[in-house]
Amino acid sequence: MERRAFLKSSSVLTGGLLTNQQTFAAEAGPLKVAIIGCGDRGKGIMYVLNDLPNLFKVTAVCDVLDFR
Amino acid sequence: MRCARFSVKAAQKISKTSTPKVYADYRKVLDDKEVDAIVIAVPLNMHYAIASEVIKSGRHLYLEKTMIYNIDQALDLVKLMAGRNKQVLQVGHQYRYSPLYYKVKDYINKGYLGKVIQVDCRWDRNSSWRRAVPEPSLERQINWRMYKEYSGGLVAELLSHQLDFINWAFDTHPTEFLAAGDIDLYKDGRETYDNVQVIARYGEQGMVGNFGATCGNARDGYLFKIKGTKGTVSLLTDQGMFYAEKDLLKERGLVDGVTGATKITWDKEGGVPILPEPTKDGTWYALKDFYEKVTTATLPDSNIYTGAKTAICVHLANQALYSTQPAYWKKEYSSIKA
Repeated sequence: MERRAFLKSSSVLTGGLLTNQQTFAAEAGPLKVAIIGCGDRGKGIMYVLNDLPNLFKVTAVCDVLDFR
Repeated sequence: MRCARFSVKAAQKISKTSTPKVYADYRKVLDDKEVDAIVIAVPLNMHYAIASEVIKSGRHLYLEKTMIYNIDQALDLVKLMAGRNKQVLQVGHQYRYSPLYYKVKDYINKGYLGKVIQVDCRWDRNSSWRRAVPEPSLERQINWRMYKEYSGGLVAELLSHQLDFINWAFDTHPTEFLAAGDIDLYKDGRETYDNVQVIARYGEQGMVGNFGATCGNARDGYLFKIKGTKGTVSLLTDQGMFYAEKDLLKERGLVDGVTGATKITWDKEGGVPILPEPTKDGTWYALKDFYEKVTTATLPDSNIYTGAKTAICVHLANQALYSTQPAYWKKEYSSIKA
């Protein structure tokens, strides 16, 4: 069971998958993402999402701290 | 403006190619049809309410670690995800998504470390762990990590990553927690401890885990050592070394097999790098994999089940810490599995 789980996860690291991802991105387009919580961590994640424009598009941001 | 650093408007400006819509109320996000997936990065005590509604809305969810604040919420969220096989929930334990940590899991599973007997983890700093607050009324919202009502303190924010990796790599969980600590340096109104040490007993694996964090010494910084009868893995977040025990060093062939290297260059302490170069930040790998799991409708490696187990570990460790009594894993928690 452990070994099977590992084989499954290790496939993530092989090169073939990256090609698949690009294909998916081209077909399905980027995933539309909303960020709830825009502190340091939420913003840090946004920077990474912006580095992967084929995979993600940030369409909404949400935080309570600008509206008091 | 005064709170620019914390403002949602500042976040909106991060996007280079688009201008995201801005919301103050998360329920409005759920009404937005232009949203396929949601990242939750709010204080820990708010995870449950928001995550529950996101799951019910059918959106894919990247939920920051620690997954959830307490044990009941962990069990509830597992129930809520049952049967939602095409909806992806990934928990933000990002460090273990780097190729380095996958490789270490491989080392462990293939027995390269021998029988693992001890795990040493630290995540130390020499500073208050406080954020600057633009006005006093925002103290609890910005420094939520200082207050028990919102946060599991250093254990939840830092040591949870290493607890989670050990659970995942060994497919196990601690059976008992002992802990010590207090507010030893920063008597500034905080409630969560600034100096903690947790001992985790892994009864099934026959291992002891030592997890410590302090705000009063930065010498070790991030330290993660996994020690077995044949060798030790020593990890930073983006690079790691393997140190063979003496008996293994004599069997050169076996070491070659471990590292995969044709020519081994030992450093002066007798170690070999696990990967030739430092990896990128774990978040990059974690988000790429999130996309892959969404498009293939498969279970992430950091998922509702592993996330719930780690959240329970954090809660039990804090229970041991604040009560100064041992805390025990209960059989009912072991029903959490895919």
